[in-house]
Amino acid sequence: MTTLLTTRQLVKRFGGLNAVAGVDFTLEKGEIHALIGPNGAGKTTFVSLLCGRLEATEGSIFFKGKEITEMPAWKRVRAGIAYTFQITSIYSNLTVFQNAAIAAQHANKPADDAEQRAKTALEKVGLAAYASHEAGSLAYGHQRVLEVAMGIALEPELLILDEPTQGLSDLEIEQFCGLIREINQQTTVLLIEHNMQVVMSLARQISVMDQGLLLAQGTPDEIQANAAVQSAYLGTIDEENVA
Amino acid sequence: MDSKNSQILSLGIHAAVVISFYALQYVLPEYHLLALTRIMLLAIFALGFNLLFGYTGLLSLGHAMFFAAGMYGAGLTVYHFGWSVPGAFLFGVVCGAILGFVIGMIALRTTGVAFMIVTLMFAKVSYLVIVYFTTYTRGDEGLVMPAEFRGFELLGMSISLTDSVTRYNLALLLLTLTMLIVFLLVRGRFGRALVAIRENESRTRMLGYNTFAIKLKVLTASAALSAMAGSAYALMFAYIGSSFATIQYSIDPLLYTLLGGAGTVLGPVFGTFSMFYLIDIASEYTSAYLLVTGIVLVLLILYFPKGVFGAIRQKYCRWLP
Repeated sequence: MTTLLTTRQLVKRFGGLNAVAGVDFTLEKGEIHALIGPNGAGKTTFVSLLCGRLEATEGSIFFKGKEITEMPAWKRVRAGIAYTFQITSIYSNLTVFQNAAIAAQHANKPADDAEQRAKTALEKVGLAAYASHEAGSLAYGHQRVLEVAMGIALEPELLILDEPTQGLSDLEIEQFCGLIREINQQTTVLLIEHNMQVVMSLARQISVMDQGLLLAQGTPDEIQANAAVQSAYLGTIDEENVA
Repeated sequence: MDSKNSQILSLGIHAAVVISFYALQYVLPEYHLLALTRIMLLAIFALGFNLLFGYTGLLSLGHAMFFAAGMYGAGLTVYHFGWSVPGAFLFGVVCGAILGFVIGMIALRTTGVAFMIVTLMFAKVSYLVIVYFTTYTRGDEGLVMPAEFRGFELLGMSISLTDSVTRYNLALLLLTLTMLIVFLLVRGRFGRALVAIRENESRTRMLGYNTFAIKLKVLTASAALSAMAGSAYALMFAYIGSSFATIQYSIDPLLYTLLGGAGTVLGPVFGTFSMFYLIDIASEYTSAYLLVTGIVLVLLILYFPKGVFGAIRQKYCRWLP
């Protein structure tokens, strides 16, 4: 396996708060990597640093061996890092097709087939039938999927999904997992996820964050057996016994 | 309707507007010929403004400075250096484009209300600069272009700007050119990027667009078109004055655009035409003509918040550019 992305001692400080407090992280090409951790652990901040929505205070980020720490967000997208928003952020006044087309007419790719790539992305996620609908009129689940379609239309090497299953029904989640596996055939996926069933069924590697630090990294089995992870999520057993 | 047919139809509609303007010169009396010449030049100004406001979602309250840049760029070179009309005209356009680029570098660091205030402020500065250099500009009183500079030779033809029909046709030529430029800019990929910025800029950035560069390009183009209107206005009507740099000339294109429909090509043209004649007719009957326009604007916002062509597009033909 080759390394796609690494961070070295990555820090993001908001005033006195170390939201990300020195993270060394490695992402291998081709994997589905889940980032988990309690609320406020710094997961979204961390991926925002990767995709360039936020600037790192200290440390460095390497993508395909090249340093991208100072690179503006739009350039990183063109370099192959796509990010889908935690809070659905589609163009609600435009049609579903236009949404996908805006993503697909990526300056790096030939412009002529942008519309075709937009169509393909919509077909992949099952939204082709809604192409001419106004995006804002879609059901919430479909809006989430459109968000992912926009990510796919960029044809990235790394797709970062921030809590993609939030607010989806069980059936939708199941379909979504199938979609992610399919995307993973061409694309490395990094996902922040709270739903442990989704994490355990999809991820080959899991990283656990707590208080801005990387607590543990490993396969799903290793993570489940990890004492530090258990204490971060469940509290320390000793203390409870004493009480 | 499929996209090919709709494109042909929309081109047809725009061509029909141009042709009817052309035909009007054979039936209109002198007064209205003059009025329509002004309207067409102001419509170019509104189209330039609309490129930034209607398609990209950036509300500038200082577009008078670009109109004035064109006006003074053309007028001062003619008056002081005796430049010929075509050269002065182009110089005016270039002045506007450069000013747009420089102002853009600064003002586009802000968005929303801050952008409105920053552009307003720069427009005020431009006005004060014109008044400050009164030795050369004659400030409020303005300058009248000398008569010997009102004609020029182009491609073997001698053209006189004192002839109202010639002026009319030149204005129509520029308007057609502007509509074509806007039409080409807003359809296709670039137009889609503009609308994407208008609808959600931070999302657009995360889809790999350098939104700052795109906005700077649009502002420069918008300023150049506004300057073209100002440049032509100065040369055709042989007068430049600081009143054209006042806040009123920043607000006018906004009103024209809102009336006709922001984010449409025909909207600003229709809006300029309607507003101009509304004021013209109302002022025949009452000195409180601004009250009439005020009431019309209130009604417009109540019943056609997207302007006349905005409403038409929403209801009947979504393909209208």
